[in-house]
Amino acid sequence: MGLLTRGSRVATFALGALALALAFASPARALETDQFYAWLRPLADSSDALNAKINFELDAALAEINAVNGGRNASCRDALEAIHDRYTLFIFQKIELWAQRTSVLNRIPATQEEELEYRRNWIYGGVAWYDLGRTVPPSPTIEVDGVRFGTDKISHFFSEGHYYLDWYDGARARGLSHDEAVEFATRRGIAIETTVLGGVISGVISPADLEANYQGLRWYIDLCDGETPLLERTDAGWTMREPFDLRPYVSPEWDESYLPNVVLEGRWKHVKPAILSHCAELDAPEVRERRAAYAERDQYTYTERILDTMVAAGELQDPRDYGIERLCAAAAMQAVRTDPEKGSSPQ
Amino acid sequence: MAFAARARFAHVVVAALIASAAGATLGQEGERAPATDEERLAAIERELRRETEREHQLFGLARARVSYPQLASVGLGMLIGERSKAYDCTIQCEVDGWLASVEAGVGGAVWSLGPAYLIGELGDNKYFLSRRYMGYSVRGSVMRTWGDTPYRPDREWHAGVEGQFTVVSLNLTMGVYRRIGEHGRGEPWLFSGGIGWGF
Repeated sequence: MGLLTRGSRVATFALGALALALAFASPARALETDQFYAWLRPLADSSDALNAKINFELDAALAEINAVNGGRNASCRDALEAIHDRYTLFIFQKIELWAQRTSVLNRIPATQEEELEYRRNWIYGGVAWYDLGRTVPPSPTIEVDGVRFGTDKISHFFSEGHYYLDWYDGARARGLSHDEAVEFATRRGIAIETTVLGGVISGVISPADLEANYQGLRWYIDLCDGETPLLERTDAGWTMREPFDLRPYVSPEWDESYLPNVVLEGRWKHVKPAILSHCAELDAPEVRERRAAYAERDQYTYTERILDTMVAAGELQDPRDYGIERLCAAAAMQAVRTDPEKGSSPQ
Repeated sequence: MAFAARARFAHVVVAALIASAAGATLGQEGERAPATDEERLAAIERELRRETEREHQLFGLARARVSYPQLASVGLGMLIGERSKAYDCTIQCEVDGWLASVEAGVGGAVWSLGPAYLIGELGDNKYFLSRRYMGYSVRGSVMRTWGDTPYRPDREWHAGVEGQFTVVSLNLTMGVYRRIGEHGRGEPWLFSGGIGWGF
């Protein structure tokens, strides 16, 4: 076995390490974000600019597909894959790289100087030096249709939503109904979030990310398999029946300061004080107004329903325990117990 | 920073155009001159097109790793890449180009050249990418072994292909080489592999 020298074993080890890194990195397709940081900062709506970019890429993808024989050789799924490829990459998604840099979106932080300040002061800024939260750049906050969310949600929509579609397709191929397949895909996404992504890699389980994933699945299904598929074949090739609009898919559940993350223990000791530092801001008029508007349009979503069954079964910590209102109330109670003189509510 | 200045200028122009649609812009006579929705969308469209234009930039790179057959080694590289004309790489950007590098270690040296893709950022540095978030390259390489290389005779020349993948600065490399030259002994093929920091 001349080839199997010690050097070869080292190479095998490196190959194994690479495979392991790829295995772990492949689901880590999006970054963390902090909407608390943006609470008191004004932010204009970016719906039109974001939709324009998404439609710009959609048009480019369909032009690519239609360039070959007018798209006649391509199936709807080919067109869907071409569209998916325009937004995604590996770990870091194209659409999010764009969102973090472009001048057409209004975002917080807006400038490079603010970006560096954000990295120091966001809620995950205090975690250990080796923590992924310190080594990858945080996603900025944008606003669409009155909802503030991290640009990572766009990645989740296009990237994780497509993974959901793969699982949905697999389930359909095994004979499951549409509804069963959607539930299968959503539960698998939740399982990965609560084990690999949240449990091992980031230490943060994000229901808001899961909401965006699920909405991405809805859109991908509607592209080719909806009652009236969004993609249609015409004489000019594959086209969209109507321009893409993200707004119907966005909900207050995309805002991580509203639908809180479950943060695992190692990180929580750093993150909790950072969240508590925003307690006083709960009384700010713009924050109260935004949260009231959120509450008004808040719905009990499909993903929340599944998460609640997991909470009830003891498979997941209740995300509500990590919400700022509950944390601030508990901190105020604690303050009253320790020093009744100073124990007025931080809210 | 010419690039940063240009990016800031573009941001100001686009922000002004977008703001003007909201009726915030004053004309020269002090009159309100609100842009229409069409004008605002056209401005966004123009900027999106401008972002697809690319220009070249030279980036410095460094890496340190433990590997076979070099054992401990350090390397320097130059990435001549294309990035969007609309913004520089002070904060994260993607660069597509060619990477040339030289690396020397206890067990030998490697010279490499090949295509590379990298998402990284300069940060406060003007030339060296201070953060490498994700990247990969496949390079043609020439290796010279020396010193105490286990299981290999030293002072051999090899030529081969090396691939590398970096995620959040964790660098993994793999390569396959064949001995070149007449004087070598034993197995002509050499498999290399390493793990380290950088790109």
